[in-house]
Amino acid sequence: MMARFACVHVPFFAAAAAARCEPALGDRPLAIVRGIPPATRVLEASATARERGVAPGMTETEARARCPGLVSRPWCKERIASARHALLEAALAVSPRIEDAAAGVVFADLAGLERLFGDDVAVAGRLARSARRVGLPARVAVAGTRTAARIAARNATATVTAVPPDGERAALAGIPLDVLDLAADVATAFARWGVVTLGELAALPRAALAERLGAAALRAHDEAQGRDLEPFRPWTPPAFWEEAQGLDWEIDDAGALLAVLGLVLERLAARLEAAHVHADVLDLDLELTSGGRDQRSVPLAHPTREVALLRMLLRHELALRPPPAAVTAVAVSVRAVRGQPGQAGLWQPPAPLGRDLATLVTRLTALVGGDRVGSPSLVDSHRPDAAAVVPFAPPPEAPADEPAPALASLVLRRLRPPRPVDVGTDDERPVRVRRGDLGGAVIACAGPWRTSGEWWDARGWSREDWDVLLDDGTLCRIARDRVTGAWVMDGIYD
Amino acid sequence: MSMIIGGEITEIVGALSSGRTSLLVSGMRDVTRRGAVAALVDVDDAFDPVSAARAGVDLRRVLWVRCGGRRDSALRAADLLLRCPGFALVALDLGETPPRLPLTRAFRLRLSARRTGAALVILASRRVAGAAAALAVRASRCAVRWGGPGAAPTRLDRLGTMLRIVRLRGGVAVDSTPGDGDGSRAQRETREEGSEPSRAQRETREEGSEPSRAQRETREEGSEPSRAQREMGRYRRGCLTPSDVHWWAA
Repeated sequence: MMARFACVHVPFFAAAAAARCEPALGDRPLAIVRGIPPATRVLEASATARERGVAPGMTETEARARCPGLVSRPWCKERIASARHALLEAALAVSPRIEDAAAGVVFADLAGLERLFGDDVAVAGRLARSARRVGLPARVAVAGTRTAARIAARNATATVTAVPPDGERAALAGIPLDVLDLAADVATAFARWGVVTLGELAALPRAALAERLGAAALRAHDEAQGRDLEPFRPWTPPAFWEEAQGLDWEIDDAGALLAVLGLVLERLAARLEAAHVHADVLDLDLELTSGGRDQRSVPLAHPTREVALLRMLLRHELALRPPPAAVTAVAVSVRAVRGQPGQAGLWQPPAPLGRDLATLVTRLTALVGGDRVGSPSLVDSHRPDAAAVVPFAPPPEAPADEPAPALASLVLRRLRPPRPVDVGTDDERPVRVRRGDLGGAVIACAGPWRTSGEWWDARGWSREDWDVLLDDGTLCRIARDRVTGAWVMDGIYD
Repeated sequence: MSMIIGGEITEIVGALSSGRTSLLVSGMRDVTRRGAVAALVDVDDAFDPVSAARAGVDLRRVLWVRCGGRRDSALRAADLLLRCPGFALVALDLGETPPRLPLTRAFRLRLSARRTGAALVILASRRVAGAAAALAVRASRCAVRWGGPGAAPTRLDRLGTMLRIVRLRGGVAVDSTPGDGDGSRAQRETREEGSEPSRAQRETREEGSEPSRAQRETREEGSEPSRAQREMGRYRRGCLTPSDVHWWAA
């Protein structure tokens, strides 16, 4: 019996996911944008918006100029993840074997379904209705291979398309090459040769194609013939990783609570081990005698399923923020992820092990506070001291071997927050800097360096910076706010 | 130029604007650029990621612990970091008002550093680690150069720092480095920095009594160079010369 696969394809998925959350949008032109206004750019546009000239990559201003009635919504990954999950569940309601190929693309194995639902068109129609029921307008194509079904679904205009058995090459022959995600150099070569359809590409000699354009062209050649290049990877719904325990009497002692949590963690860790997954985030839910709930989330610096480590992390968490009342029931759930191999490169210097790092970060967090431990990260802004703290996760790969600069850079010691100073000026150049009871005459200074930014919202700033050398030997950077005229000391060169 | 000695304590002291923080950051650059991981315990939240990134530090390999002015928390954080294997460098920036560091605690930090092989670099306005430090360097500013097209300077061009070694443990073994030309200079300075032997010490030597524990350790270190001594021997070969001027580009 020949295999048959259906491809459920939702075009312009990000826009469809947004429209799913706001049914009132209807058929209005919709664009998904990203960035800080006014520098927002269009990431995705609905079919209606594309008909009016809106395309991904253009600025929102340009898109609105082309399409006056355009509705824009910010990029939201949670909304897309939710829609992706809904589409998978809709397909799972029809076929027990489905594959999550990409956002908005789901393959379904139709083996044995003809006895339940009828022919290919009937099954495809059922899939399309199932997707429509969860708010996603999908096109469904059925073919003998997943690649042929996907290409047919992407190119289709009708909701349901069925490619007859053994008719994949003929069905794909007239489809333009644009449906394949070709690399730029390969697409240029094909255009230069005059190859514009999948049929023309499939007719090219394979060996000569490989000699001229390499592996990328071979992959395109296979896709043009409708061949599947990768095995079917079935998708199963995520497991419910939670263990709970009710208590016969309330617990108000941290030690006793940790003993109970240890038992719960052991059960949970056994399940994780059986499924070969690790915990990434630990969620703790405590039911209190007061009737309320104490819910908290403990992020882990490294995925793990070691009971001793998880228990230690919970002990630190409860020591940092004890429950406000006695506890009558506990529930622990985790977000499970696949474990990553822990071995670094052979020539890589040693780095802290994930287990040690998780313990260390937890202890440091308990010592100085959660938002004070992490890796410094630069923010894409010219605003002074534009930096953030992100979770510490050193990359496993070795850094690029760059030559050291001929002259090392001078570093600024920041004063956070910047200290207000009184500055005396002569012809707009600072001549005296006074801060509290300390003060000093300016021996030399350089500036001004004028900067401004974010004038389009309430966080706008405009200032001029000076580097000054005081008579007490301090070399510092001071700045004048060009709006208020106030002077501050940003930092000291050291 | 690097101040990183694995398993030992290095102190960088100096006044503000002396170039000491730039020296520390250049060490962090060396560590992170070779793929290792560094930690910075920042007492006064003074670290500037923008300057550090411009100096070439791979910020993804830096664990930044901000202590908000709590000096005791900073010492405990450094202790925790030194006990965690895998960090090549633990930098402790104590700022302008360093806390009192009891000698027992300093030696405990050194013991932790030796166990994990991490280099502990302490940055402060004055020395705090005492005899626990293997190397102490005093930075002082010697020049500031301004630039610009006209007569009036429009930009800060560079800053010159004079480095002086004020403590170097294991100087005998260091001086025996083959091909070392100016090794005796550091030794002279070390001797100059330390006090002259007291009359009681001279008498003890003359009497030929049993050597003290410190003397025995010194002899043992002198007879067979330890790893730290071998690393410190690099300074004789030009990695760090105590009286050169080091320039930092603004």
